[in-house]
Amino acid sequence: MSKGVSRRAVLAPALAAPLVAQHEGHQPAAAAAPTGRPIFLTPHEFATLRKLCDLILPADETSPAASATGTPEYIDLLCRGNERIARIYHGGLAWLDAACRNLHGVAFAEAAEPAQVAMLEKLAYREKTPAEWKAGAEFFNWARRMTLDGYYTSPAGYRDVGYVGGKGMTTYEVPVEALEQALKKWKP
Amino acid sequence: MAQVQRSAPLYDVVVIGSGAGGGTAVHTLTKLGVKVLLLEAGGPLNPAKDFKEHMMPWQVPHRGAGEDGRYYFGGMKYGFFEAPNGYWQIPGEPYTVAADNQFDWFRSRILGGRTNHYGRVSLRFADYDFKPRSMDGLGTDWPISYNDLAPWYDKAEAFIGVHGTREGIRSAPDGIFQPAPALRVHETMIQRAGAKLGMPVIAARKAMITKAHNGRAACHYCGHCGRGCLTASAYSSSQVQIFPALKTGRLEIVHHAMVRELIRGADGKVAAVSYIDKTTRQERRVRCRTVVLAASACESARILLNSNGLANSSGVVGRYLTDTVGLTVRGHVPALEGLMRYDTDGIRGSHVYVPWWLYDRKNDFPRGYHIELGGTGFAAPQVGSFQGVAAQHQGFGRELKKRIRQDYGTTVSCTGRGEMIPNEKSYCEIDPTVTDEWGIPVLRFHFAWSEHERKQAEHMRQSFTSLLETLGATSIASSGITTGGEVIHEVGTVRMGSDPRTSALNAYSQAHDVKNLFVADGGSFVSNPDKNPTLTIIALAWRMSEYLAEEMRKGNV
Repeated sequence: MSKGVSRRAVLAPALAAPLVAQHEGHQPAAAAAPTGRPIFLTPHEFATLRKLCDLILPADETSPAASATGTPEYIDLLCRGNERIARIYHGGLAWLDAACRNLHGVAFAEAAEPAQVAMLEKLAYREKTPAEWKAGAEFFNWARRMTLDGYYTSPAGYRDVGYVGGKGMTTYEVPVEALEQALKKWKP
Repeated sequence: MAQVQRSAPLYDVVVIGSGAGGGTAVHTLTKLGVKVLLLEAGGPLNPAKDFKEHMMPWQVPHRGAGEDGRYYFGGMKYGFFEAPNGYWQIPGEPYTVAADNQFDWFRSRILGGRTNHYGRVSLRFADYDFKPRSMDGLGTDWPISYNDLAPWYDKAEAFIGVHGTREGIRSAPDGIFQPAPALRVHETMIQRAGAKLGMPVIAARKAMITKAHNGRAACHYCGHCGRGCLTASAYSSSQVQIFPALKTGRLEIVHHAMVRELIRGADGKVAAVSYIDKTTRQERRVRCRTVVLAASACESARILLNSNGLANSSGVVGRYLTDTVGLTVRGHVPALEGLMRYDTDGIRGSHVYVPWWLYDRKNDFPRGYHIELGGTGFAAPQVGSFQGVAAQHQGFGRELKKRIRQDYGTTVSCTGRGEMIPNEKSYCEIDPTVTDEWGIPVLRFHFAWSEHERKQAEHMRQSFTSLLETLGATSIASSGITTGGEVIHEVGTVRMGSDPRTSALNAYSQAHDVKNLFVADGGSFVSNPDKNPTLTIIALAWRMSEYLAEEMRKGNV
């Protein structure tokens, strides 16, 4: 666990000096950069996981892909820490490979992106999942859930949704324009 | 009868437990010149080291899910970043639940107990809350009235610092308030929707200070109140009462002291407290002139039940266990989509609430509830924040990212906090076959909601749904009624009363049977009104402590 509890990093200078001074000893801890290497899964499993994470949350005009946010590393870490999670990913990633080989003759990570996307279309929506793919869909749910968790707990994820707090205030204030904007769309 | 060695140290008052009740007793007594020994079953608290305030999830590689990923299997309801305050299960310290019953017991093992993290909602009971039986024939009246307790509500609020607004509503008596913080956008909308429905949406009343107070800095609105507050702008007994009490030189604390039983002397009074020193697993004893039980309602009942029937000639100890009735309805408010981003951190939880507004008419269930209005606002994402979006919209890819941006900050929720009527099926007792790792017999819980609570929960569901519909909400979804214990408002197990045959304590929380034994936690409650219990625990403990100091001075105890 990181000991560097960053208060200075997140508290704006507007705050009373004593509060900042109180945390003088703490160094801001930046998010660890993605290593691109597994500490628990096999290199092939990790490559498949990275691809899967990036299909779930790809880069767009607003923010980067999941693999740029440490999300595959986050999942790999929890696989090491928890046997149940490890079983979910060992089994699920192998399932993806087997299903992909049946359809396209190659492992999931080696398939063309349109083929990968077509597979996920069947896994990502309850109503599109064939009965014999239920186990795969179960795994996909885990992968989607944990990919969201890894992504939106990263600095890039915070920027993506537009979180602007974490700075503290001396008096809590709400911009008048925000209320006006909402009241344009809703009248009691 | 156990022998008490004369060589054991003698204290004027031994206080057992350091939460809201114990903290208040320690603070009040030491200020009045009394020497106190505090026994705490957990370790010391070092806020600078123990609180994870202001940490961002990426500062730990597991992002808050726990190194062992236990978040994913329900093992971490309040999250990794919350104050190190307690647990639903404590290794080595089990409790049991009778077959076909459900009860969850949240306990804390650290200085300050559950006050390090709790919601700090600080509501006075209304005048009628003290006389429930006179009002509707159910339950039992308190031996005190609102006016008896009001001066100590004043002292409690003035000392711990509570923000709010004066409203003149009978179900929500006004107190001594610091200014309330501004309302977030969705809170103003809720206020206007409530006005349309005749529901008074008023400023929340919570123990967070908005002005500097008694050497504590004003709130800095980081929204991390549940993680423990480094500046003690949010009240906790550890920082606000116990640390200052230590400076008087009249307080001594023994940590890791798990009390086993109170030992009666030849005169029938408590002569000593027996506890297990968890660090050595040895039993130790301290002699006392008086003892204050403040281990939490159920833990205090457990200590008494393990003390050879002490203070229990009435047989009520462990009985009349209640928790708060809870139910949540949430919905998606389209008018909040695309709202300009602003800082919604503020004070953790809602800046508004609805006091019970139907107290003056006949409803199809007794008593009432208040509503804690929420909404995510643009809260700092944590693990699990967007699980609901994924479950609802499914999918993946750019479309899912778009959905998440669109849904962020649009959820509004109403959570009911209602009064449960004590019933015969809800109590705790000693499990005859199980002990904890210290060899102390554990509690077995029995718990059942009655028709009263189920009807109340249904009323909550309907009123919350209309409020959300008025906001134009879609995807409105309701939880069921909470499980017993889940709201962590368990009280009533050592209740006070004017009749020693039907109560354990008198109106000053002094045991009828044992004059040097007092209770300072929620155990003493006669009923469990819809007002969160902590402020009343503090007021009662303060009043009890002044009475105790005076009785000691007069030589009566």
